[in-house]
Formats: sequence, structure tokens, C-alpha cells
Amino acid sequence: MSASGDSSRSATHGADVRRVECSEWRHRERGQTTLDFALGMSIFLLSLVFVVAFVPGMLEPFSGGAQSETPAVNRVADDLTQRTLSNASAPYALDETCTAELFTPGAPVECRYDGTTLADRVGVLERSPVNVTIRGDLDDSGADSVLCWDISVVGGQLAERGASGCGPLLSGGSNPAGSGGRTVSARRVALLDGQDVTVEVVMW
Amino acid sequence: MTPRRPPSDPGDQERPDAVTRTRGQAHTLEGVVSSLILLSAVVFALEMTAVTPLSASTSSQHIENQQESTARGVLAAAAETGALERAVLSWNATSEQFYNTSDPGYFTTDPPPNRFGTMLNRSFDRNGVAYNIYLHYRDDDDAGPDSQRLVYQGHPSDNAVQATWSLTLFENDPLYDHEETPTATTVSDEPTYFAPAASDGAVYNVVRVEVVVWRI
Repeated sequence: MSASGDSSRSATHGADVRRVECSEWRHRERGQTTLDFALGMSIFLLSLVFVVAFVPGMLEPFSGGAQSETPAVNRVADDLTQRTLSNASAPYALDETCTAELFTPGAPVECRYDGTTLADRVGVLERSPVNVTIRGDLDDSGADSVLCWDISVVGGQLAERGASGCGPLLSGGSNPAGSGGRTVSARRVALLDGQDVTVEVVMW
Repeated sequence: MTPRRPPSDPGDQERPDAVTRTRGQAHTLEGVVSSLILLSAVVFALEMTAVTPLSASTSSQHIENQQESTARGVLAAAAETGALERAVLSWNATSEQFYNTSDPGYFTTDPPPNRFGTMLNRSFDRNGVAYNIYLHYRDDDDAGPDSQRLVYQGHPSDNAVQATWSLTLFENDPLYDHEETPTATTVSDEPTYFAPAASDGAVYNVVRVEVVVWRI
């Protein structure tokens, strides 16, 4: 830009101006400096505001909001469906007893988990709340509902929540209602008691 | 913005004309230039990152991972119950295509009306997720695997994921009718079945079931 050239030129002519010794003229010589300054400043401030408003959105995908929970939910879900509740030779085929007992305080010895709380059993620290829910559609109603383990028949069977004989609900852990709406979830489809069910792990 | 001068004073003879012109719109130009610098810095920072909110795709790696795992779970659950084998062996010898399919010989809009299709419907159709299912098998010539469509809902998007499951068919596996009931015909007795016998032994062929899943 020629800003420096302009100022040097105006400086050289400043001597002439001072010789004129007329304050009114000097005021006029400034031209539209006030308007000019207002316009230039507002353009600058507008672009600054735009940049400041734009940068957070630009950084959003990289913000650390759910960074640790995202791999954690996947690991918990994979571990539940492929190791803890089933075995590596038949992944995604869940063991009925261990699945039903996962959500109750007592842990059978034949199951591959121990501890008393669900967070302990899936190996998640206390400060990261975790919720595990098993959903399915047993009656072909077109909508999934939370399942429970019906203990009224010998050996037990799957039932939808609210059915008669509904025993332990296949849902446990912290309540996602207290998460503030910022949760990360992972879903796995698995086979439980001859039915395809969805295991959903939620962390926040 | 045309540069304007203050009305020239008639008594102002010795003042050079250049003085009023020189100041011009210096501040405006500075504002414009500083805005350009700021914006180009933002553009430069945007170019540095691969995925931004302005990227055209709505894909999310997390969702793709969930779909891939879901597809694998559906395949594993269907294979464990035998529903996958029944769906693959549900062959109509008369029309030489799968049962319950119309002209193209594969399912296009609805899932297959069997147990496997029910699982697909619960996990994918209801959630607005499209899928293709291909059956890759070994052809009798040694030209490599051939493939047959079981479900084809369209060309997958760029963000599709896939999961596969290998299914071994034996010579004495029965074919199934449209109600998933085994028939008296075994797969090796049916010359119109899409996969030929790949060996002389008890193994008839190995079908690799490939599910390609993408968000619509």
C-alpha cells in the first residue's frame, strides 16, 4: 500500500499547511477522516467478529468433548458381545445366564466377570458413568423395547418389559438422564436366547 | 467510494491540491486489508484440516463403526441360528432364482421374508439404513470367485461399510422352500442352484456373504 508514501507526502506539505495558520482550514484538510476511520474500523471489526465466531465451529470436530468415551464405548460393547458374555469361537452369541446375571448384584462363578457394580464388571472407572441396555423386538411390534429375563419358566426366557413374569430387567448402570444430553453410544447386535437383540452401551 | 474533497475555499490558493487528496480512504483501505489478512488466515487454517464442518460429506467414523459392527452381529446371529443358511439355500428350482423374489432374481426394496430378513429389518430397514447383500462363491472354472446378489438396494454411497461371513455348504444340505421348510432336494442335486459344486468332496461350496451398509 501507499500509506507510508501518503503520510510522508502529507508531512512535507504539513509545513505549508502550518504556514497558512488557519485552524478552520486545517480542520477541513482532514477530509472525511472521521467517516473513513469509522468505515475502516467497522470493516475490520466485522471481519474480526466473523473470525472469532467461526473459529470455534472450525475446531469443533477436534474438541475433546467425547474423545475418551468414543473408544471406551466401542471397547465395552465389543468386550461384552465377543468375550464377556460369549466366547471367541462363537462371537455375538450371548450366554443367557451370564447376561441375565450381569445386571444383578451376584456374579456366578462361571461367568467371565466379577465385581458388584456394572461399571466394575465392564471395567470402567467410577468417574465415567456407563449404562448397558439390551433391547429387542420379541413380538414383532415394529418397535424395540427393553428386555427382561422371565424367571417364571424353567431355565428362564426372554420377555419384553412389562410382560408377566418379568424378572431382572436387562438394563443397568448409571441413568443416562443425568448426562446432560451429551452421551456417546455404541450398538451391537447379538443373539440371546434365539433372538437377535441390540446391546447398547452409553457413556458420558 | 469516490474520493471527495471538501469544497475548496476561494482564499485557499497556496494550499496544494494534493494535501486533501493524500489522506483519501486510508483507514478504509487498512480495514479492508486487515480483514483480508484475517480471512486468509482462517482459510489457511481450514485448508490444514482434512475434515471440517464445511466438508460435503455427512459421514461420521463413529456411526460407520456402529453400522459395521451391527452388520457383523446380524450375520453372526443369523449364522448361529441357521437363518443365514436357510436364506441362502431358499432356491426356487422352477424360476431358477430365490424364493419370493420378483423379476431380477434378488430382493430390491424389502428384506427377504424369512428369519434373516426379519433381523435385517430390525437392525437396518427400521433405522433408515440401506444395505446390499452379495453372495460370493467359487465358480467351477478357476477364474476366481463369482458373485450373486441376494439383496440389492442400489449403489452404495462413498461412506458404506461392509461385513462378511463365510458359510460352508455341504453336499447333503437340503434346499429350503418359501416357508423355510427343508425340501427333499439337496443342494448337490439341484443343477440350477447359483453356485456350482466346487469340489468332489463333502463340501459343496463356500459362500462368502457380504453385507454392504450405508446411510441413505
